[in-house]
Amino acid sequence: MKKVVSLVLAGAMVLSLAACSSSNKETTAAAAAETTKAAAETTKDAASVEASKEAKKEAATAKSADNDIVIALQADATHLDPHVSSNGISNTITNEMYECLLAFDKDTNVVPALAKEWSVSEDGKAYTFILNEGIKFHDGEPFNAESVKAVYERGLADDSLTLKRTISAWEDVTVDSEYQVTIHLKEPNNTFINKITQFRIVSPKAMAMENASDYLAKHSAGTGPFILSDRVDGGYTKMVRNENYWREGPTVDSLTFQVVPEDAARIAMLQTGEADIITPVPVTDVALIENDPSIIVDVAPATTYRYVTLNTEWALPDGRKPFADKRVRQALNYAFDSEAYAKVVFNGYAKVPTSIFSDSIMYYSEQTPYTRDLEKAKSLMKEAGFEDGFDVEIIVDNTTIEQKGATFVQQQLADIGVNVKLLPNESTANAEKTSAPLESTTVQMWYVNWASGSYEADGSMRNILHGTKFPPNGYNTAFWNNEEFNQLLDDALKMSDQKEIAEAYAKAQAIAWEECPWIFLGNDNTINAYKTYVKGLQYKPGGTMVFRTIGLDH
Amino acid sequence: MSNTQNEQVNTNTSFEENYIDENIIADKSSKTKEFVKKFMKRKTAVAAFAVMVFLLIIAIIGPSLAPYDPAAYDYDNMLAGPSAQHLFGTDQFGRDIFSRILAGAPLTLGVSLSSVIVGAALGTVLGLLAGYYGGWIERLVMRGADVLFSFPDILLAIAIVAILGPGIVNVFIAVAVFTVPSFARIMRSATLSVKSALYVEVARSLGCKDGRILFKHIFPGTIQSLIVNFTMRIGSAIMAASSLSFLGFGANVTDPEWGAMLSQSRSYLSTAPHMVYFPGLVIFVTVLAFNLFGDGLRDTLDPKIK
Amino acid sequence: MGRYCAKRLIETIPLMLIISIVVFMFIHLIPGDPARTLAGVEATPEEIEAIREEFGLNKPLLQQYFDYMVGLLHGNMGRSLKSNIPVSELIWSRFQYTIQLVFAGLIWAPFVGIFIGVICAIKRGTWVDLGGMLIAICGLSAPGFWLGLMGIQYFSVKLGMLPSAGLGTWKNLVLPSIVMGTGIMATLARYSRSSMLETLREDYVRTARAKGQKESIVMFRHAFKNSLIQVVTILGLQIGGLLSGSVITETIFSIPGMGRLLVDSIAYRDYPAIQGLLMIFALQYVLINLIVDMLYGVINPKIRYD
Repeated sequence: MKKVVSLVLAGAMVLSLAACSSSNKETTAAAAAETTKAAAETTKDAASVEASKEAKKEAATAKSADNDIVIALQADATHLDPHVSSNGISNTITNEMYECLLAFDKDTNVVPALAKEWSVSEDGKAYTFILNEGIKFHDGEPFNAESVKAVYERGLADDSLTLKRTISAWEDVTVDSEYQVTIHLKEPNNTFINKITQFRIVSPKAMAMENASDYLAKHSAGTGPFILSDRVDGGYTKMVRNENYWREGPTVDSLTFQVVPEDAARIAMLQTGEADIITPVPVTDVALIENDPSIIVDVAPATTYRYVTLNTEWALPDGRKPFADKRVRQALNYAFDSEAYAKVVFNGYAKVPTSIFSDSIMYYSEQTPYTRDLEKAKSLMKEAGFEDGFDVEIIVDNTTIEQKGATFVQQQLADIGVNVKLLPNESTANAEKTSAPLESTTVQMWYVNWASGSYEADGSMRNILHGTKFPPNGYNTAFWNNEEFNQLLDDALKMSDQKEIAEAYAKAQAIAWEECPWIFLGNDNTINAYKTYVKGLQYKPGGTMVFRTIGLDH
Repeated sequence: MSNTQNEQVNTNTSFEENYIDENIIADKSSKTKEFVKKFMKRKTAVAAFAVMVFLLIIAIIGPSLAPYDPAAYDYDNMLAGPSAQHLFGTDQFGRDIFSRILAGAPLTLGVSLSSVIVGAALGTVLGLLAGYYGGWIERLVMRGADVLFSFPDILLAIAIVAILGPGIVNVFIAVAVFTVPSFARIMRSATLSVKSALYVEVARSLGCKDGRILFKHIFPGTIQSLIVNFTMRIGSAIMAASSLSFLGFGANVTDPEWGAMLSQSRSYLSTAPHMVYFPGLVIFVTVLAFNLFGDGLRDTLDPKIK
Repeated sequence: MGRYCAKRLIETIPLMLIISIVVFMFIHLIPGDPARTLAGVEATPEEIEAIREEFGLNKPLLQQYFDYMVGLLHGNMGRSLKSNIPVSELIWSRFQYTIQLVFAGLIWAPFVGIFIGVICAIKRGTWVDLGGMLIAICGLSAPGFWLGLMGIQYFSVKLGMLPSAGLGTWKNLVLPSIVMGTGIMATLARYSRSSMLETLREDYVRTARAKGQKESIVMFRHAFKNSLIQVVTILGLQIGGLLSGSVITETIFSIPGMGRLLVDSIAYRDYPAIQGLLMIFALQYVLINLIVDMLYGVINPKIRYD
């Protein structure tokens, strides 16, 4: 029996290497090579799925009954005005109707979109874009340099838009010619290109309306491959194909995003064919559908990074501040088994953390994992004077998966005498608690996750670790303030040399890893599943689906 | 909770003739005997009573019977089906489900019993006062009940838990609050029907104090309605608590509360159905026992159904 | 009758006013900051302030309440914070789903329930009675969400007979109607049985029997018709409960109805939407009660309204 197991494991290792290298990511392959047994099991699942995928596609004879595609999502967009909404699901939906000047492909390379070329000035403060010609908005207006400027002006005029965040570092936008536009920055900023992939272009005519947001809630006015047809808030959002799309577009007649919050129902819909694509697939149900010949399961490393913040200013009733001591923070990391975390909480569909953000983020630099070592953890606790442990509370959202993760943390830390009490609550209530300033904060530990929507290193660190980002200015709920780290981040932002930027960020990651203001938990996988007759699915980094060229066999 | 007993329509008018003053005490022991005799004839109710007693015993001594520590995890043995080692199988952390159900009995039954007791006590006092004094007290209590009644009970509970935050104590408060108006209404109408009875009139004319009349004379006359509604309410309290858990407003997940166990297990419905099956079954049996017992009690106490 | 109706309608005005105040206080007690949630995690304090300003969330509470009520008098329920569309429009789009569910439950449950109850009463003490009441009590004791999940697992996934989510065709309504209706069916079966038994003992039924009328006529014209009064009361209360039952049903079957809107709105602290929904839930309850009272007169013309 043991032999069989080890054979399977060996095979899995080989497969996993093959699978990972096929995604052109050295880092992933390197990380996979070093993984231990549990991690091998992790990737084994992913690998076997990967291997069976192609076979399934070829063998599949199933056809779709119609030419309308239905995607079951867990939650709904908050708003269809792309300048109002900010969360991931809103973006997934609005991205099919609105486009940006540039975009990311699945390997985090910047690729042209509405702009066909771009260049940056010597001083790094001006970016010039040459736009594609002959593109029309859904409302018939032509797309040109003026429309880019109009979006900038909308952001200037209205503070309540999330668009404001994208343009806050901009000085001005100048129209050089009908199809050439230059964006001037206040100072050089290496995240500019990342941010421009979130700068969605909307028809100037629609934006000029008195209640632009109301109009955009019911009509689409972008250049994207789909046009909004109808929507029930919280129910579904239906779009039809844009017949005048300017480049290779979808072949399906319509695209419907249906909101299906129950995990079991989403799986059932895919099995019965009511939905053609579902996302996310709950980790517990992958086993259920991966052997279904009509279903393909896609596993991709997500940008979501999970951690527990340790409030370094929090004091016990006797006045001691356990998390102010680096040894205690490290002890917690040594007490935490992130391999088991991936296995228990995510059924193997997660990765051991190897830095303070996901490896699908730009400028990721690999660190040595804190492998579980209870003896070391206990001796560190003793050195710090906490050999008897202490009681601590952890804030966590009240969803099943979050609570499961926090329960796991509780179980792990109990082994070194740290008694964790869970305080599960709705995310909105938690957001209020965790945004309280230092004087009034009640945060001791916070089980949370972070994902940078624009895949940049700065966005993956600044808001949650920089010394100026204590709540309410950000979410640095560890109240960790490291001068060197702050300086590295600030300097890197203004650099333009790729090597220097990479070095600065690598150093910053090493500092935060060593100082560990968090317990590093893991990196999610994004798991999507779809019917074999779905064609032309594309991806962005982190496993986000793009439906631009979607089609169905029917 | 569409299946909640919102109000027991119990229009007993004939029982007052059994309660003519001194006879109460003289009749007491023989009445109890008669009641027990009648009750024993209802086999399902007796069986339900036996189950109920069994559950209560479990709630008291159960946790010490648990073969495993209900919080002890075993990552090599997760989601294992029922076996000789793990009677009801293990959960997503490899914890023994049988032990968790035993350990959860005092929590689950405790929350529902205590919330109904507190809700019923408050509701009864308010209902008695409203029915006895009438006037502004009655208007106040009844309008208050109207306001509370205007929200379906699960919504009321959601709102309360949203304000107080999730957790077992707050579930207790929420369930207690929506129990109050139904008792207030039932007790008021029961009080009204007893108030005009001869023995109350006599007591009043003899110059008894209000407090004495209320608790010595009126309250015993309303106790049937109270008991029946009480047992029926326990079942709905358990269901309400588990529904709250289902919607994410319930007990702390680390607590082995049955509703929370059921709600956490629903992601494993297809892969590890035993996780859903056992807590669900235990809830079902418990609610069923309380409901059947309540039925039996009502039928026995209601002199119309002979 | 017309005057009574008008009087009752006028009485609902102060009640609704109290409810509006209670609800307003209630929802502002819920911890959590909608502006922060809307703005997202990367928002700056300035952006959050701008959102507060836009929705008037930085005004004093009393002023906010006053503004809301003034708007309400002009038929304006405010704008949803989350989706930034008028609340009335939002609720209307959701209402159409919930009402479908309510009808899906009502189309069978009351009839089956009353049928079971009446048959059990007629066949009192037989196996039919026992079986019917067992069905009823089981229906009352099984958690609704449990039934729904089991239904999806069996009928949708295993047998592929019925869709598992959303609305559209009649097939979509089958499973939700079972979840919506089971509780009502069970409750009505129980009440109509006991109510029928009560009327069967009434003098006029005995008289009718003694006069040698056909048993079927006795049962239907005399007993059944008169026992309906209690049943209608219970049905009214149950319909009020249906809306809250829909929270669970809508969650399980991913139907964008009013119940789920409420849960979502609470999650986002979408004050205007919560306020609007709770007011509408309360109003429908008050109106249903009114209709039930009116129906008494239709069923039993002996009842006078004064």
